[in-house]
Amino acid sequence: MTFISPWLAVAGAAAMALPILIHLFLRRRQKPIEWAAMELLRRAVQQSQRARRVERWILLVLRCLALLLVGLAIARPATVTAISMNQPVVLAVVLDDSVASRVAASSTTPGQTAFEAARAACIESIRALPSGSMVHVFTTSGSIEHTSEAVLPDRAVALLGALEPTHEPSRVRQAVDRADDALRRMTMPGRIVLASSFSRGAIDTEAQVLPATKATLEIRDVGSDDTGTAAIVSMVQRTLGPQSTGSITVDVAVTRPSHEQLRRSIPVTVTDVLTDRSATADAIFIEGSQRAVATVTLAVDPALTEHAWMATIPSDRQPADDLRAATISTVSADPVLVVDRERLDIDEGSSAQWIERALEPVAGMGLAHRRMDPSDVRPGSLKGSSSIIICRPELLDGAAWTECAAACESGALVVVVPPTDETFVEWQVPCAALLGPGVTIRRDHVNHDPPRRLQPQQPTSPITQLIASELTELVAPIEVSRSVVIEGPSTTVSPILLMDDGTPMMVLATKGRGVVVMFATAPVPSWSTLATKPIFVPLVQETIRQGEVLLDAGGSVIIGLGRLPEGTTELRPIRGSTSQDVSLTIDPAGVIVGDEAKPGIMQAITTQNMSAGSSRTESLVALNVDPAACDPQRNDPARLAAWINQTLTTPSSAATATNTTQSSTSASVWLLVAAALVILTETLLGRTFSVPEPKAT
Amino acid sequence: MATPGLRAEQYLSPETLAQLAPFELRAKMIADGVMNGMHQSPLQGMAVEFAAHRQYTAGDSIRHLDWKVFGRSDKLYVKEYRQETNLDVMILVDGSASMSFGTLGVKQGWGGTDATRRRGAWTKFDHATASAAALAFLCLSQRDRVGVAVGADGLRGVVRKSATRDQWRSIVRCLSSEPVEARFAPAACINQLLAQTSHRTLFVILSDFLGDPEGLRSALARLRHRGHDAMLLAMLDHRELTLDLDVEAPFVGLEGEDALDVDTRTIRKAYLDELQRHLQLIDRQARAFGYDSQVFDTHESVGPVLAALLSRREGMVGGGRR
Repeated sequence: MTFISPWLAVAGAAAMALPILIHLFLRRRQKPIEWAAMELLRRAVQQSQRARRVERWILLVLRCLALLLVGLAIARPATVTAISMNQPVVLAVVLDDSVASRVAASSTTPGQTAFEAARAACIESIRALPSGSMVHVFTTSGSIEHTSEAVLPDRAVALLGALEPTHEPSRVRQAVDRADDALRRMTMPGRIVLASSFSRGAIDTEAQVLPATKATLEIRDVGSDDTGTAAIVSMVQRTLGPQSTGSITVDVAVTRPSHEQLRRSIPVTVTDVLTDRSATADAIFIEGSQRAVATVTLAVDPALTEHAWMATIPSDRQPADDLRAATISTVSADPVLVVDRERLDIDEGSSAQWIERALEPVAGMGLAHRRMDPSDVRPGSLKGSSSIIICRPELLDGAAWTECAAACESGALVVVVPPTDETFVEWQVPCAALLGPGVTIRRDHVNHDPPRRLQPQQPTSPITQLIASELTELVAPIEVSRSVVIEGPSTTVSPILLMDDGTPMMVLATKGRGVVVMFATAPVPSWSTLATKPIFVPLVQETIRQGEVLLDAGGSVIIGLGRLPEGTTELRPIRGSTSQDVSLTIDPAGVIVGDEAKPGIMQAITTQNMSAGSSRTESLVALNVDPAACDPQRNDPARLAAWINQTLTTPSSAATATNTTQSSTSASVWLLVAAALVILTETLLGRTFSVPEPKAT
Repeated sequence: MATPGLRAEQYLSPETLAQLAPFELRAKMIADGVMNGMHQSPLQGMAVEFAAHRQYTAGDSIRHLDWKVFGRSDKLYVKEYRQETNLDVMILVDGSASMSFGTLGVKQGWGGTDATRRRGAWTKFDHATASAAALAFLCLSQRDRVGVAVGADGLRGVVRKSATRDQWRSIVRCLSSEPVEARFAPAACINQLLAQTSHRTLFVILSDFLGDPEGLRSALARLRHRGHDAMLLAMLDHRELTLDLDVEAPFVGLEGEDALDVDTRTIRKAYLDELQRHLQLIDRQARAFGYDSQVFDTHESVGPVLAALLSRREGMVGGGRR
């Protein structure tokens, strides 16, 4: 017999000493009691003490026995019968090939992923089998299984060698279930080898408990506590479009957990998914900080109109190709569209002029833009534009507003700046409708005397996230002399910047797949000092960049179980499920036909019927990757140990040449029953032995 | 004396007695309580018991002629008493170390004997001295001659029998000043007392009688042989009577006995059986010699028990058992 948790058995045995120590301790602590009727006492003691002493010893032994039995039960004894090394067995290997297995296995074997280590462990177990043994191969992703019949070891090794890690979540429980079922059908003694990194993505020790298996379960933990857990949190393109420079520069922000102090820098690779060009730069952590930014410059082909960047960090720092952590950014070739009409009668410059100046490339940073007259905003005119800045909303007619709303719905960023001229046109109503239901914009603007300032503590907004650390300093000098009042439910509009009276100076709303940003004041000196302050350039550029990141439109990436771009008819695997050479078919409703959605980064083929004929666009989507399934962090060691103890039937060290013939669970149950019987007996005997309380004579 | 409106028993509870610092007062309180408790026969002396009439014969003292009978019947009858003279009472209080046992707590500053002060509790010795003093007070108030002795391995303090005024004060002084130590040897004490006793005497022995029963039997036999009367008053603490302790601890004797590891829960029944057997043995021995015995619980009032004992004794005497 052996124990799954031998130390618990030792603890149970040690616990036996507890009642004895208590007994001795209590004996020593009693102070002597003076008594007069000593002779009577002596006679009484002589009469009863001998019998009582025997009874007490019996009770003490029973108590010790109960503790011992409970300890043994917790230790989960397994009656193992040693079988001959030459006796053939059936081995069911369960290999973790889930997306979580892409983490690094150990710091001692650089470059080796958990999947490779797990596979090596499985092969090692197979090679150790006596001749005549058979092998079943199972994977946690379910990508391969042989339930009908076992294969010879060599064939199993070949099968394992051909396997690659998948992007599927880990389904350990089902895999072990299948393995156990397969072994139940075999006449030969069998055992299961489960090899995994046991990261949180591989198994959730809190939620998953393996079923009790008939066969011996051997755990091969190939994970490492040293596995990096850094993650990419954002990727922002800094330079102008590739058309002008032939290269792009992106800032990739990386976080790491506070406990990871060993790595000071993490290499970040940015890849153009479509051309496979890539460049690498280091994200260097300042001591004590958990966030670092890597600035990567990547040469691109200016001829291409669409690009998709994917940032990755090495597999020993995060799951390789982990779609959760990787951020994919697509860049539209279209410049920012500034809707404005030229005015020559003003000295202070128009809102559009100030905004265009803020978009100009300075020191390699900037955004391409082009001007469009409000009268040119007609149905279809905004198609292809991902960012539209409306500086003269009073000049837009109903059809133009409809087109703006349509663009927004299909995934565009629309920025609205209030008109600086007095006007009788009620632009506020369609503009409020663009922002969302329940939103109102007051007809008349409000003059502030003295001018209003902005709150030092501004709300958290995705638009200002990159300048958040300097925001208090940046907003301090802004003075607002005139503003429009935007009101609406917080569920529809969220403030980006707030004035000191709590009214918004800038709001954000999502509409369909697009985003609407509205300024409550105009960036002209008669309205505010916004345009002349240092915040203006980063604020305008961040509004465009971060706003585009927020877009959920064609050309962007849907992380996880997201929606497909409208009109998607086909998905072609680019990364992830690269072994699949079949394309997925999408029905008109956007639902993947036939098979369940496969995970990975796909190229979405969208066919649209245009007036001039059908057009075909391509975009990227990432499908069906459960973020939890990719979690590379190790389970808490104590919790993992407890889980393994709870799960195992035999210790891995003893499992290579043994086979259990009796379930440890049932042994534990019997031990617990025995302990309960002992406790019951002790209680009954204790009552029988104890002297009833006499009445005072 | 009892305060009007209060029941005597209230004064006679050990807690109350322990608070009465003057020893005399304590005894008087008990005696008063005893009187009140014996409503139907107050002042029924133990010495002046009328026995019968007999015809006058020459030589008889005319002092005892019943003139009322002579007036009615013209015949001379002499009244005969059970005792011609006053009853002699000798109270022997056990002053051995075992009598210093007590579990009824008393507060500092309360009255009591040397044992009370030492143990901070109402001891068996306290109960015995209180009872002895009360008895002595009763006897003296009936002009009986009473003496007191405190004894352990031998007589330690003796106040000879007397009915004088100063006797009471001497008795009280003796009871309150003797130390409590050594073992009680009833035979030795009785021997010494008998050596000083010439008249028939009622010996009242107050002890816990936890010693060798054979020694007691020997002492009683000597008393019987000399024709004396005796009363055995067994003073036992409530805890001794019930063993209401739930401890496992070493027990040490007060008279130098070896320590004994005892789990009271396990031996309680056996102990109580033994105690019952022992008390029955004492009672049997007393009755075998025609004596009376009574167990006193030191946690209970002295008066009622004492009154019940005296009442019973009077009944025994009146019933002609002697």
